[in-house]
This record gives sequence, structure tokens and C-alpha cells, in this order.
Amino acid sequence: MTDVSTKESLFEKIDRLKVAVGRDVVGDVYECLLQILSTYSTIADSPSIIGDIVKPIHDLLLAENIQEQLPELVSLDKKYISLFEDIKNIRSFMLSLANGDLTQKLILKGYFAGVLKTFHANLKHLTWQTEMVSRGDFTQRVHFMGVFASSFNAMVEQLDSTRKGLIESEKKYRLLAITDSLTGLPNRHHFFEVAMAEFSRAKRYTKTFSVIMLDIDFFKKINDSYGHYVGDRVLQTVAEQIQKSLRETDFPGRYGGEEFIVLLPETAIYEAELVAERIRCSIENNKIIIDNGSISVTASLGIYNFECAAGTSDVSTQSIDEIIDRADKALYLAKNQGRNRVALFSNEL
Amino acid sequence: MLDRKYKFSWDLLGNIDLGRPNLGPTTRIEVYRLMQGTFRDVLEQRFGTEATDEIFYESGKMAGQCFYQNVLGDISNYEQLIKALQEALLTMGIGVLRVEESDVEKGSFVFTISEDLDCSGLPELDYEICTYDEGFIAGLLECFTGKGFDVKEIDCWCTGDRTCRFEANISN
Ligand SMILES: [Zn+2]
Repeated sequence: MTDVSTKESLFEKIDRLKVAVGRDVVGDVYECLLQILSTYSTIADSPSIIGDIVKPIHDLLLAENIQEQLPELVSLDKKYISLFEDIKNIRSFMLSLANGDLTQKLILKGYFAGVLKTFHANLKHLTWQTEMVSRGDFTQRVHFMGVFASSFNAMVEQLDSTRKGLIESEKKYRLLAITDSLTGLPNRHHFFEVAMAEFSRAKRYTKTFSVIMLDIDFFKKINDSYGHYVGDRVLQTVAEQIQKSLRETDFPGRYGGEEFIVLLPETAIYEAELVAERIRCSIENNKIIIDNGSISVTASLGIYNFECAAGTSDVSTQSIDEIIDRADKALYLAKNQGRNRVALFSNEL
Repeated sequence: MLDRKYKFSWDLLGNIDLGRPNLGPTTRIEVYRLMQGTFRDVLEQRFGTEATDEIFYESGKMAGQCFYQNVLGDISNYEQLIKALQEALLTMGIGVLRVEESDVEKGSFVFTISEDLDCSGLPELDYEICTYDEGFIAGLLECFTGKGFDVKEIDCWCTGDRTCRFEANISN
């Protein structure tokens, strides 16, 4: 708004000053003032000029489409052009941020750009952290971005605990799949897996190993006289006695029914005999407590030793089934010899 | 030069438990900045701006190498490096390190460090000033990868950016 009376009185004062002091003295000042006043009055008298100048900047803030053509009055003004360009850059940077495009860079410096860069940096770091989580690093936590941080952290913690739970239950199911539920020993299937691996290893490295087959004597009688509950107790107790008598590297399994099996890696026949005898004694000497007193059982054991030495003729023809079959044959020899004893396989069998 | 007076080694940091039983290992950040600022001033007066920046970069690099060897210890992969570094910078009150981009194969990284020792909270200037940090990061990365790195601060608190952003690339 132009205050006309103020302007006129200013001109009058300058005129009076000019008359009083003389043009020479105030000449330059007078010219300057006249210029300023006339520019001021032109702009101020025409609100449309200020409006024109402000509009492109205003559009940058408000309008979806902007006009690149600047008003004539400022089209060559470096400061105006740079302000216009700066806001335009910020505007397009913000648009890419909003669209999730984090690859854009804001070259501009200063507070406003700095705040946006902080936001940009946060988003980029968050993206990196999320990537780390997806690669299995569940220790990632966000300590910035306020309420989002707590949600993100809760999500990662939840993912981590779900994952741990899954691993635990996978372990549990894996164990269930390979264990005999009554005795807790490895089941027949798992025993075969381990035995096959040992068999290949022994062949590859020319090693020896032994297999013991064990059968509880007169088990059917125990079942018939005392019932299945006691039968199950007997199976569990025998399994315990077997495990107690083994060395760390020996691998036992429940073969089926009242039959058990033990794999003894890198064990020669005489060592296997010692282990078998230990098992037999332990079973024989153990009292199994039942409702009205106690019972004891015995077991018969057969051993086969696989020797993969140079010159052993039948190495290549033997399969793990054959090996177990030979231990089984030895077991029946022990049965035939009167039970509660250990017998070795021999080719005559 | 065998008979140098000031050849740096980690044990020159001294036994702080023994030497500062009451005050402990921490000090005010102003003191660190006071020392750095005055060093920078005198060096610039004596040797010029460019040489001063070079001296700061090289010193930072030596510090980064020593820090890697003596603080970070056994690092076998990049994730571990970042984790150990973030933790060390945080517990020692050096700054908050964040990764923005990392391409281990190409050897190209973008890090930001906020609340840092050198510049956070300084008045706004027209230029980035964390030359020492550039060198520090270069030293760390060189120790880890065995390759030379160029590190440049592209945004700085001092230029109004509120956080310092560093681009690191394997030197050509
Ligand atoms: Zn900085």
C-alpha cells in the first residue's frame, strides 16, 4: 500500500532542501532518493508486480505444475533464479522421497536441505538395516524415527523369537523322527543311516568296525506273565544298561521288538567282545523293580567284525544288510549255545 | 627415519586406569575440539590450507589403522566390521555411525556419522571440515580390505546438513 500523503510530503521536503542548500550539495543524494522513491511507488502502486514475482515461488510450494518462465522483472536476477532453482530441487527431491526413490541426491546445503537429508539418511539406513535383518541379523535395532522405531524393533524381536521357536521345534521333530519313543535310543532307520555312513568310511579308509546284535532272552514269556507294561519297563531298562556299557564312539539303536543293535566304529573283534560282555553282565546283574518285587533278565549277543584290510576277499560284496545279517547269525549261535552269552560270527555259520 | 621423536604407537596412549584413577578415561568434547581447532589454525598459518587438510587426512588415516588393529580386533566379514565399529564408536562416545549404502565387491560405501567429535553443533560454514574423519574411515577400510580407499565428506554439519555423510571408494 502506498501512503500518498507521506510520499508527497517527502518530495516537498526534498524540494525545500534543494532550495535551501543548493542542488550541487544534495544532487547525488537527491537523484538516488528519487530513483528509490519512484521504484518503490511503481512496485507498491502495482500489487500485481509483487504478485507476479511471488507467484512462481508460490507455485513451487502449492501447484502440481510449475511455470518455468520467470517474470520479466526478475528473469535476470541471479538471487531470484537461484532461490527458484533451490526450491525446485528441494521439491523434486521431496517428491522422490515420497515415492520411495532413495537414489536421488540433494546437492543443496543449509538448514532446510539438511533436515531433508537427515530424513533421507534415516530412510537409507533403515533400508540397510532391513536388508541385514533379511540376511539373518536379528540384532538390528532402530534408535531413531520415533514411534516407527519401536514398531520396527518389536517386529524384529518377534521375527527372532519365531525363528528361534521354529529352530527349536525343528530340532525336536528331527529328534522324534530319529528316536525310538519307548527306549529313547536311535530308531532302526536312523541306525541304518549312521551304519551306512560308517560302512562307506571304513571301506574308503580301510578301517575296521564291529556290530553287536542283542536279543532279550525269553522276552515273550515276560510279556505273557507280567503284561505289556512290565515288558515295556524291561525294554527301557535293557536300553539303559546298553547305553551305560558303551564307549563314547559306540552307536546303539533299537532294531525292533526285543532286539537291539550297536555299531562300534574302528573296533577290532576282541574289543567288541569286551563291550558285548560288559553289556551282557550289566543286564544280568540289574534288578528291574516291578509292582510286587523285582525281576531280572538276560540277553544273548552276536558280534560281527568288518575288516577292510588288503587281501580280504569279500569286502566289495558285503553290504550293511549282509553285515547285520552276520551279526544276527552270531546272535542265534549264542541262543543255540544256551543264551545269556556272547558269540562271534564265523564263516562256518 | 629411525631417530624420530614422535613416532606414534598405541602404547603411547598410556595406562589410563593407572594415570587417571579418579577422572577416568573421558574428557569434555570442547577440549578435543580446542586442540583440533588450534592445531588446524597454526598448521594453516604455517603450511597453507591444502597442506593442513592433507596432514589432517593422513593423521586420521593413521588413527583409523591403529584403531582397527587395537580396538576392533578380529574381524572376518563386512557385517562384523560395521557391527564392531558401530558399537565401539557408540561406547567410546565418538559418534553414531550408520550405513547408507554398501557394495563390498565394488568397494563402494556411503556412511553417515552424527553426533560426532569434530563438527556436530559447530557454526555453519561454507565448507565440510571433517577431514580427519575422512582419513579415519579410509584407514579403517584399508586395514579391513587391504586396499587403498578415497574417502570424501559430501555433507557436513558445518554446511547445514545436520549429519556428516562420507563416500568411500577403492582408490584407482
Ligand atoms: Zn562433518
